[in-house]
Amino acid sequence: MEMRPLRVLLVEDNPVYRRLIEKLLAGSQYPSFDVTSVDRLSAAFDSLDRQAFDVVLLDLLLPDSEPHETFFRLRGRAPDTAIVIQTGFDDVTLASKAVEGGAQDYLIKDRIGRVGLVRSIRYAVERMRARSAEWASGMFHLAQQQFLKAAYIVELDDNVRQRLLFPERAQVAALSFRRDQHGQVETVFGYRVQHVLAMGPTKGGIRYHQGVDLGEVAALAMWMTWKCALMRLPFGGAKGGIRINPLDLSRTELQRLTRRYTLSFIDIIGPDMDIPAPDMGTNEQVMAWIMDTYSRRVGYTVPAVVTGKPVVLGGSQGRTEATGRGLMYCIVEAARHLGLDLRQCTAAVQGFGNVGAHTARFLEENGVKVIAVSDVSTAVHNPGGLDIDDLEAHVAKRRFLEGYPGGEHITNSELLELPCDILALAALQNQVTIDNVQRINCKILAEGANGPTTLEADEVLSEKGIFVLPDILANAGGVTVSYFEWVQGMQNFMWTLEEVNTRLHAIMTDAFRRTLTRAEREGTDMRTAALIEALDRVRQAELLRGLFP
Amino acid sequence: MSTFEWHKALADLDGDEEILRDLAEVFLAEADAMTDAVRNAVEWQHAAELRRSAHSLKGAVRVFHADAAAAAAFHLETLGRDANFQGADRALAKLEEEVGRLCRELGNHLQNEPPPAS
Repeated sequence: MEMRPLRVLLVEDNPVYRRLIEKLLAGSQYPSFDVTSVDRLSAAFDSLDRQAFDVVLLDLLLPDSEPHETFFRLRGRAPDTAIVIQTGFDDVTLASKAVEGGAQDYLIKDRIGRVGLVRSIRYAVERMRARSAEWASGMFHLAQQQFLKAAYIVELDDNVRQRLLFPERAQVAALSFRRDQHGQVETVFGYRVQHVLAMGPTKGGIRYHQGVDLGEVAALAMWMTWKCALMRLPFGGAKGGIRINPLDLSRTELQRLTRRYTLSFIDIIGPDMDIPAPDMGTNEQVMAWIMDTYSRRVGYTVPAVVTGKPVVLGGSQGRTEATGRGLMYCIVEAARHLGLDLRQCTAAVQGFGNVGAHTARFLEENGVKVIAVSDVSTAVHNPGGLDIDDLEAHVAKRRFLEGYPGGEHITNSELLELPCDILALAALQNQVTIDNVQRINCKILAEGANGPTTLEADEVLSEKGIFVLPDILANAGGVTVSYFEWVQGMQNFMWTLEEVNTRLHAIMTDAFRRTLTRAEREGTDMRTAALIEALDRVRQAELLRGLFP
Repeated sequence: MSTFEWHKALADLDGDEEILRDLAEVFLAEADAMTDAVRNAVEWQHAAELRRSAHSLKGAVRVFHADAAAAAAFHLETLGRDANFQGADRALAKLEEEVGRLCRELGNHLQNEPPPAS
């Protein structure tokens, strides 16, 4: 969740209009704004020298600049900052030239209102970020680096290596949907990326988050390919997303957007083609809407088009907790391998969403003392052990851990560095980095999230002797039970919870043992070993299928 | 006939009277300086400054839907844009008259119409 205010530089010589913008932005709660106002271009340059801004609201007629130069002079000074031109409706030509020159948007002063102003700023900032990040994403870079390291070790055929570095299919759509306030139409970016089509249909969740971009979705799709191959599931990897904060939307808006997304990508999804599932910001209700939209379009119900559906619509038993359960199965195997008695162990869990909360519960059920948990609002630490039931009750009522009375409140960074036996990362990417890895103090690092550890940090973890359960192994419980749900849907035959969990346990423990054996045989870390296991399978499939045409 | 339309201005701000009153107070405090800038530009025959200062004043009065004052400011803005000072003195006199009326009526409105209860 975006917590910090957006930093706005308002460059406007008209004092009445300056006050108007300041007042309109002051009234915005989400996002909130930190506004610096100046009345001339030279003062804007001084402000830009002192701090970075997310966006500049720029009047073109200023006392110390020619109108046709103002934008270009500012752009030259702040090439990576979003600029929104403010213009009177007699000056649209001037403004449109600035937009041609790279301004993200223009606002007509005479028609300014809070909603339009805030939306314009949001879009400008998002477009600026997306422009620089669509492929040049840190997450995608990490996914490619990890792959290349494994590809080098196995001496992967160069042709195959080049082929696997980028997704086979990536589709971007501008999705328009109506907000509840009549007359307002919002347009956001949606993505569906399919990394490898040779393994079978593609499989991967849909993420609604304000940080989504093409690079991130491509990275996640790539990790899905490895995950499915490692688990020996008959899928290639896919992922989708919409760059939006779902908490900004009402339920009806969420439904409209979801249906719009489904229709936009309907030609490339389907039970035999690409099967979406929930991810960050989406849930079984969103899957139900996708299934309904797809089914209405083809004229009959197609339960196998998505997984993670409500149970009554063909969702699998055990799906909701599957990722956390799979993570726990891996932690049990890792503890056994290291000779650790879980009843004597402590754990810290970063993240208290679906994966984190279930992981914390399963750790507790296995006798582990959970001493810390966190979410976006805070981290809670209690060396005597936290009561998971109590935590969940608090979050059910208050939505976040903030204000929980059963422990000391610390920062997320402090949680990561707590001495413990098991550190479970179940939040976002890039949590363990070269900056903090030396202070990580655990025996087992279990990756419930995707990409939480950087490659540089990986090397240090290995040197420190910390046993890493890499993401493509440890958080594959979700996709494995998704596979079960898809199979049940295709056969129209539902399994019991016990059957699901038994099969999940068999697949997870088999993948763990193969990965451990490979790591010992190759003399490499668990992440690289897992990737090599996965790569081997994908490589075989690609070479056997050949290249057509 | 009023020089401004309070209800239209209020509608532009989704009914937020507190903001509108605040903007009116800012305008009343700045109107003299803004008009002076236009006058100086006419006196010095500084075309770019005439365009900018008249444009700025136009924007300010438009917030209150003060059409006559806005039209007078726009006329001067156009003269500045075209670097044409013919008739600029007459246009300036018209602007000063309209802005003066606007300030008096806006000031009376703020004094006589109490702010809404918070």
